[in-house]
Amino acid sequence: MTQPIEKEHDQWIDALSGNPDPNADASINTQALALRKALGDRSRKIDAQVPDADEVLFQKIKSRIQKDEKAKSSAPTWKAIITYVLAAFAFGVITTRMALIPTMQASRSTNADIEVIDGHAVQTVTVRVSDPIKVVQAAMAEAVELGLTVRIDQTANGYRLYIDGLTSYSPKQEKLRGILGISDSASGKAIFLIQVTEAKN
Amino acid sequence: MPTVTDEEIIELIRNGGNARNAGIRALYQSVGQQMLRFFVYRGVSSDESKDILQETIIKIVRGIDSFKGDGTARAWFWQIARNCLTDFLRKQSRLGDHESVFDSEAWQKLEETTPDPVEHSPRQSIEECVADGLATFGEKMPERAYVLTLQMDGASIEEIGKIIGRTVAATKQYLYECRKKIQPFISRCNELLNA
Repeated sequence: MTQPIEKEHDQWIDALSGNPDPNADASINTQALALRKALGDRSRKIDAQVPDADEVLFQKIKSRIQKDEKAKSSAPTWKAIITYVLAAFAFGVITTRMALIPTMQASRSTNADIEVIDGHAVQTVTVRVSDPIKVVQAAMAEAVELGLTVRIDQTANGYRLYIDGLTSYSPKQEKLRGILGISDSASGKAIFLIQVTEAKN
Repeated sequence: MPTVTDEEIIELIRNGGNARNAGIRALYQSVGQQMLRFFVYRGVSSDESKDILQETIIKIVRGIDSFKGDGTARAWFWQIARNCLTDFLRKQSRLGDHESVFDSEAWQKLEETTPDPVEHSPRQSIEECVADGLATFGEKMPERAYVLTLQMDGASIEEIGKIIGRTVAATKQYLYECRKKIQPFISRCNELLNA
């Protein structure tokens, strides 16, 4: 019979809560009330060890949350920079940059198109050079060093180099402009289609 | 002063910025002290309880978007607290091989494998006898001892249920089982009633 047992349980729990049922068996109430006292005494001893959830602890927690958030938000930027720097080194740009300039100047032609990227009109410039790989290497290395955003994709007949962050008449960007044949007044974003075909004069 | 509900706390934290900071503070004020108490009752030191509370709050904030509303926010907060405590105890090797997360099946298995106490010693009064029995019970089944403490404190079945991750009906059954489980530790004290 579960009903009587459950009723005893309820009476015991009520007595434990400090509300003994006068109709309950005396042994139920006595035991529960003795346990209530023992729990209270035990509780006072343990509670003395419980620290306060104070402002000092809160500030520590808040500071840790802020550190976590900073670490998360800066991680992608560092990753992107490291990725591009590693790519530039893999192409061996630093050792070949000085030798590239005569080659690039002797065999380039450009024409311009407009493409829409993320809702913005972006000029596309086709650059035909005798050695597109070296041009891409040099341009990427220079752009990364300048802290510009760079993306590269391989196309059927060359490379598609996206650069964001061009500043008009910037002395620091002079070398990059020279590599890609960009005018001093160009600014913002641009896409360079660096073709693998021979330059046409 | 109006209190922020648990669901409002979640929304504040999700909103970001100053609202997020306000939400985190409200969360801390709402559950921090109770959680510290829960951890200490489970046997960790004062300093350890602060560390575990840190982990708990951080995990709640980090995982705020993972709360989908199935169950109450308060129950979700406590689930994370219990998990953090379990992880801590496991790392400290304070969990026995048979112990697991604080779900009902795991606790039932734990209790079925926990032997009954055999100590008997003469006591002067029923109160001293019960206190001794409770001390041993608290060492062997700290979660149950804590639940009995909450009941003694006047916590509702619903509140206790959220802390231990059970429904109201399951919490009531759990309390019934607490009464049964503590009997071997204190029933001998009944003899003193008749003495």
